[in-house]
Amino acid sequence: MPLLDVQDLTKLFALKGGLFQKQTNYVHAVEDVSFQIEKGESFGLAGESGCGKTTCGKLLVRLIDPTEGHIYFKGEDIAYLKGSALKEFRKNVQMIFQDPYESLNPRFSIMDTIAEPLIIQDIGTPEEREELVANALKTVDLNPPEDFIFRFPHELSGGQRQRIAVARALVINPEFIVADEPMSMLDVSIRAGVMNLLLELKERFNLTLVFVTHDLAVARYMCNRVAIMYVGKMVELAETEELIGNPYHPYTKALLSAVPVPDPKEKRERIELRGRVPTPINPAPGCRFAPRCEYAKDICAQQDPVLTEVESGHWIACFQRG
Amino acid sequence: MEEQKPRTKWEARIQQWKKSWEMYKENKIGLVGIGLLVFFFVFAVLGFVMPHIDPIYHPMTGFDPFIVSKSPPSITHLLGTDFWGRDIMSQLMSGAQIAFLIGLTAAVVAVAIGTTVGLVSGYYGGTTDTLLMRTVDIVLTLPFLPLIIVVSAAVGKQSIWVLVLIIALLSWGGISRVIRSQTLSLKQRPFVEAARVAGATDARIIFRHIGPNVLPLSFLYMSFLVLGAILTEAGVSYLGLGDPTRVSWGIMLQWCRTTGSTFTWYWMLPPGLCITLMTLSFYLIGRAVDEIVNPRLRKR
Repeated sequence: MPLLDVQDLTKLFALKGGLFQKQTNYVHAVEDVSFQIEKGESFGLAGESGCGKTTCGKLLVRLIDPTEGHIYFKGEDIAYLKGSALKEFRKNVQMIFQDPYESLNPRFSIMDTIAEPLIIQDIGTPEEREELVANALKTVDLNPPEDFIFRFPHELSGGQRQRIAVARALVINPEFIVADEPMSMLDVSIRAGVMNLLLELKERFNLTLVFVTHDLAVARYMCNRVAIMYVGKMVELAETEELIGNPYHPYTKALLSAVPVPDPKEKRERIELRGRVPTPINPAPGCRFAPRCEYAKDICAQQDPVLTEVESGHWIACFQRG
Repeated sequence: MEEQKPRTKWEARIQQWKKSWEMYKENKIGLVGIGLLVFFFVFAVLGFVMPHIDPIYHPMTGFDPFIVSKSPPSITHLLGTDFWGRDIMSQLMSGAQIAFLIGLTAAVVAVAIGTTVGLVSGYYGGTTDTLLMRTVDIVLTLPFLPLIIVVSAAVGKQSIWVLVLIIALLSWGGISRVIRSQTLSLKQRPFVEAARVAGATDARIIFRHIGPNVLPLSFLYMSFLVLGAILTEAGVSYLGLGDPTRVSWGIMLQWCRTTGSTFTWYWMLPPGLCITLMTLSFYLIGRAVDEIVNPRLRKR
């Protein structure tokens, strides 16, 4: 049984407008997304800005409520949990946010920040909590913990803050962690350190990682499997190396051709897409990518392609089938 | 300068306070405000001591047996006496007590209501927000003087507590607007989302996460509210709607006017100056705090 089994997950945001705030439009942030994540896996959600990858991550930790679909966590549907059942579920998940300058409360000391999940879930006595916080600081290489425990976020650097955020996520021993582009706000020089730390901790605590990123190079380094999203839809899903070495979907191909290669002599075909990303507000039927796709046929504008397995473990949503 | 690393929660707190004070100290205007405030505080405390030294220094009942009318400054009465032979200096001290009492209690009550309403309104939004904000509209447009006349008549006696209550209930509107807008922005910040992922309840998010982040702003508005409350009390008392059983600066001015002594400088001038300087002190403090709360105003 997979740790997480996501079935037809959909999130529509209502746009209120017009006289008397009549609901008129919906932003289709995530639509009919299905995938499974195994225990101990590092799963990447990739795509450009506005493709719904962050929304998808937030749905998994129930930060926002899904409109439709199911999320089975260890066989139990957690998509519509409420109250104490939801609080119980929250012991299993944590999230690491993009910007460590924003994700730590400026008025909380490091102790307050890291101990918060423990306090909310009522774990341990104050003394035990302090012990747990100190241990968490050690696991993220902030040594000695006493130097940090009563400091405030503004006294720390960006890399240290992100380590604090990781420590906070780890302190209640969650089953899986959703990391929402945790490197993108960090200097390139300290990115590698935080990435290696996450990978190391994943091995050590047998964590399951959902990694949201727009950077395919980061996804390649961090993830076992990667799913590519485009305007709320999942277009391709495969093992990382397979996806990068043998992409099927025309959008994935274009995306990969935009990743810079550190060799100025290497000549390669650069796929330039026509037009712009369509709006996710009341999108037209058919494949979302069809208006920009050079292989588009009549059927592409009429029917939604379904994510199907074309090779073992390689899923794509395209009528072209590669 | 390598500062010491805090080892306990309280050491960390104290270090934070010290840093804020360092920042405040940079501001000369703010220091003048604090200086004035300390002066008035000492003045107000002295007011409790004076009647025990000599009963003629009691602001209400200290009729000097040797003086029958208003008298200019002398050795026994440094600022002279009023129409009934009472010491003006002692009355000023009593006025300072009243100013602190009214200013601070009205401001604290108004800030507490305004901050809570602003937090709840901004955090929950929707119908709650609409209801609370329309209430604020009403509060902001209620006319002050007619209300105080009606309430004084209804209560039957003029008490400063009625005054405090009315000032407090009429002045929280502005604060709640400001706090609401700040809450609207704070509740979207990722640290609030992080708290929610950890399972925090709405109450915890409002009072532990958003509340402390808007508190400096509340404090800033509090200093301006104190100022407003003192001025309002003075104005209302001057019109004869104040509490006649206590000597406040406004009451002094009213006595001065009703006895036809408007041009008796040693009686008219001191309470007027006190009102000006005390409100000035709160205004200056407010401005200095403003510069700390809004870093954009800081000089580079």
